[in-house]
Amino acid sequence: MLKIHLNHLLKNQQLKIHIEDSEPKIYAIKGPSGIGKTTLLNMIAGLRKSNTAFIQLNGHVICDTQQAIDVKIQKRNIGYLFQDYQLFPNMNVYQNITFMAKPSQHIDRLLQQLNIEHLKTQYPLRLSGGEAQRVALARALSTRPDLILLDEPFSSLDDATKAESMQLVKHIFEQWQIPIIFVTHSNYEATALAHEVINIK
Amino acid sequence: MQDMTPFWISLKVALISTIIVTFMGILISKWLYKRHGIIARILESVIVLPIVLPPTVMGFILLIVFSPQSYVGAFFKDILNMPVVFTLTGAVIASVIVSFPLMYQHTVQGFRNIDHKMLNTARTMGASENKIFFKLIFPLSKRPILSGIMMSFARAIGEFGATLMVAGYIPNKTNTLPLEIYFLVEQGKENQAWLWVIVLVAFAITVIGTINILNKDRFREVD
Repeated sequence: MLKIHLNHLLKNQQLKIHIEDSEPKIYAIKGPSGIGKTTLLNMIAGLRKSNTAFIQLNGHVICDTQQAIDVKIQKRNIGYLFQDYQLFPNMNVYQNITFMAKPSQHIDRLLQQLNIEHLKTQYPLRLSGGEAQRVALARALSTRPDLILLDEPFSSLDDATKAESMQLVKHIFEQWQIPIIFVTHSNYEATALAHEVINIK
Repeated sequence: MQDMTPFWISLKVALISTIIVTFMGILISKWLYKRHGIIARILESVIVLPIVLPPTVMGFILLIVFSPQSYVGAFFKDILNMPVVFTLTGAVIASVIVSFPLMYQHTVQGFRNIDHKMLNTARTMGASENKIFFKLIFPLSKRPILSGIMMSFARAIGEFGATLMVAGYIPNKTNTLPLEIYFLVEQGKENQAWLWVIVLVAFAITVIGTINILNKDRFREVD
């Protein structure tokens, strides 16, 4: 279950999100560049404070500005994929994925599902854009998050990889039934993938 | 055969000083790299001061602070049983003070250069600040830390002004190589001074070469 009510004034621009669903869904936050879409994700993840917010995830309130509840980033259990993935360059793929998770069947399944088993001992610098994204996804899923945030997940990929990647996100959603919020400026991505589009104007 | 004592004294002073500076540099950088408040800024300015001040000024201040008449000096002399003025301890303290800013600047810059988003990724995964420091910030700053160590070591080996003021030139006790060279030339023994000059140059080249080799990062290779 996911409930997000968030309001924030940024550069004279009122940013607003209202999400209230009992079933997991894929949401797209759509709007032009520079309007504050990433800021919204940062606020959901707890990296930044918002003017008013109420966020409830699987029954836990993780943020409520009225009650002065503000759960720490580390305790929110939200998987966040930055646009540039931010893999840890001093660790190989497997070490990246097991950074906060012990080796387990869950991890093995992720490696297999995301088709990165053969990359286990590679270092991030050697990976292609698509591979790096799959590794980052596996790493985000390794801790079994309650919500996944994707910042412009497809914008830096070539067309073929983009189609694959969108397919993969859909697949992950179906497999794991975790709500996903992604940010995009593309109409196509939003309508093709999301169950619900949140327009920021 | 020339007496090697000045060489060993120099090496001893520089090694002890570099070890102290390395630990202090990493600890204080860890404490300060995330802070941008007024107190942190003042503290940073004080740390960096010896880079700007003439070594004789630092030496003068140290001499006042550590003179047996002062509280600090008395504490070192009577309680720690480790007099500072005109001793090897004084030479080490002088080296630490003048080389610390180099170590600090390299280390803290290294820590600050790491992408915040990477650290935030680790935070969203639930990693503690300690884990983030020891698994990410510290290993990813290996290169700046090594450069800092190299620079502080070189600075400690070359330290002259502050050392002369605090530790003086006492043969077989505080005559580090730069002091030895100065006093040999002053006494007209240029031939003997030459040897130490060559030793220092060779030493500097070896140290820089070694650290450059150590400095190669596996994960930074780009093809």
